[in-house]
Amino acid sequence: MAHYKLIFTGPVGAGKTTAISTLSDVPIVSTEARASDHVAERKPRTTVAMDYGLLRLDGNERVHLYGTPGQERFDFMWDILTEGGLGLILLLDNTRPDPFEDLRHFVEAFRDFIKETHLAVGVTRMDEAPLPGLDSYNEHLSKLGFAAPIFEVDARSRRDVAILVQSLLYMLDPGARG
Amino acid sequence: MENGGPLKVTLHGFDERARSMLALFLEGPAQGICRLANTPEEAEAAIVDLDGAVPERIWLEFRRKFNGPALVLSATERRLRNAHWVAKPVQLGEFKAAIERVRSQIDAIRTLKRLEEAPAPAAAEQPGSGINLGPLERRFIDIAGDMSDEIYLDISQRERLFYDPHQYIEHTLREGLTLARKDNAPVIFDGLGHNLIFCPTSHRIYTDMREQFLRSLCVQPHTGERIGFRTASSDTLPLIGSSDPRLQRLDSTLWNVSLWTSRGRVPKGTPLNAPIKLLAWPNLTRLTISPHALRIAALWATRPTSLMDTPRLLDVPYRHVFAFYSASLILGLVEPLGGNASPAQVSPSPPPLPSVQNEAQTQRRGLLSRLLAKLGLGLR
Repeated sequence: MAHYKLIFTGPVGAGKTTAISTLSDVPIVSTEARASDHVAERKPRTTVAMDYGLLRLDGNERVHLYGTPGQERFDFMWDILTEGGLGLILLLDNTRPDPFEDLRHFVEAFRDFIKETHLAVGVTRMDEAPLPGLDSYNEHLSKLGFAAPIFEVDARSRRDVAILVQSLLYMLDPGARG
Repeated sequence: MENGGPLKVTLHGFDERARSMLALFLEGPAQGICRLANTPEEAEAAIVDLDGAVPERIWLEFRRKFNGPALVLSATERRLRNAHWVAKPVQLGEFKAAIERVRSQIDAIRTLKRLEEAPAPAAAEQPGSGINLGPLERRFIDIAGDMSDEIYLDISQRERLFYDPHQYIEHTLREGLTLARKDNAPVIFDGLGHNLIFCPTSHRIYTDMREQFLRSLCVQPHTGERIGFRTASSDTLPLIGSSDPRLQRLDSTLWNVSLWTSRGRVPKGTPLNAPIKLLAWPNLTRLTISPHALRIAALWATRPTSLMDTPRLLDVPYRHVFAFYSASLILGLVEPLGGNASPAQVSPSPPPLPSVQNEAQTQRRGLLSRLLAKLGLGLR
């Protein structure tokens, strides 16, 4: 039975857990716990290890959906999670004080993985904070040496998350057909 | 006109001599563009001579008999509803251009009719399953027009692949937007019969126009009506709450305007064989997704490819590629590279996509395809 992985990453509260749960065929396995540091100000419960969801395909194939730990003290998990991954979904929260610094931080952290695969970026909570706009994200990503699909995303919307993931898959191979 | 044949016309207001001369013109220099209909009922459009003694009476009499689009031939300019003026003496170029406008109008009317007749989009999505978007896909196909691939590949019909934005409201809206951005001030449009205000700082449009009305404005070439625009100070505008349904996204409105106007065509002068580069992805979670938009965007992002090669590489209809280009162009998201400005030639077969070279890659494409199908939404 073949196993594949999609990795969801981003800062605390950007919607990784929600996005995975909107796509997963199984109830999401989340190792959320009460946050004990400054993170508690943004989100009382946060992912300290990882989220896990699953997409079942025909023929017993499975695509595992992993959400990276939201706190930097768990960065060591990232390399383990990305090994053999198909690509990276980066979710950014537009209400955070400096979302471009978040973009830089995660792109640098996953630079090698993105080079080997591809990246798609979803910007959440743009209804609360319309600025900065997607064009600014494109500019900042370009300065980091990458181009990727960047969409406004509501992590609760299956349609939004599915479009984001589909864009990543087509970047991997525009010849694939759904 | 079906299947790209000549437009079938009926004549009105011509005396016998003028009628014979026009018939000779249609069979000679204008051959293949239009022909006389066998019966008045068969006619798709009319040609009216308005240089008779009482032109008003000729026009009224004509309109009692025929409601469709018309070409008006006269020595002095005539601006009449649902009619396109051609100056006498008739020049072939002007005549052909007017016929193209009539064709666009007929295409637009047919598209609108189909949109109205199309069933409503499918209902709510079910978690973990795709959505049945068959009717919605049909709507998308209508938005991209209905020209077959044969028309795109037929050099003699090359003009049909282009439209002149200056002849449509799209151009006026773009000019208004440019002014709004330049002055960083709201711009009000006049002459539309409804409110339409661009608000550049909030990237929103305020309008009480129903979508169907705006769509009908987009598909009709201008017939002389004046639509103007002007800047306004914010304090003269109506008080608009942020949740007012009349407040719409600017990018989404412009995207739709371009789809409705272009209907599977590209602006005049677009180089068909120049590789197209995607400068940035359209915000497809908030825009109407035309069929195959994600695949086309991914190809142009990773490997700039021309308008004529893209359909062959991806095995998708030409009209969807052209529609996606025009919509992306209005938002400044695509750019032809290299400036191969000759739209007349079709390049030989494009090189295949650089994948599926070994078993591992075949397996991976299979996996991606199954995963895409699982994610569904009929978006492809």
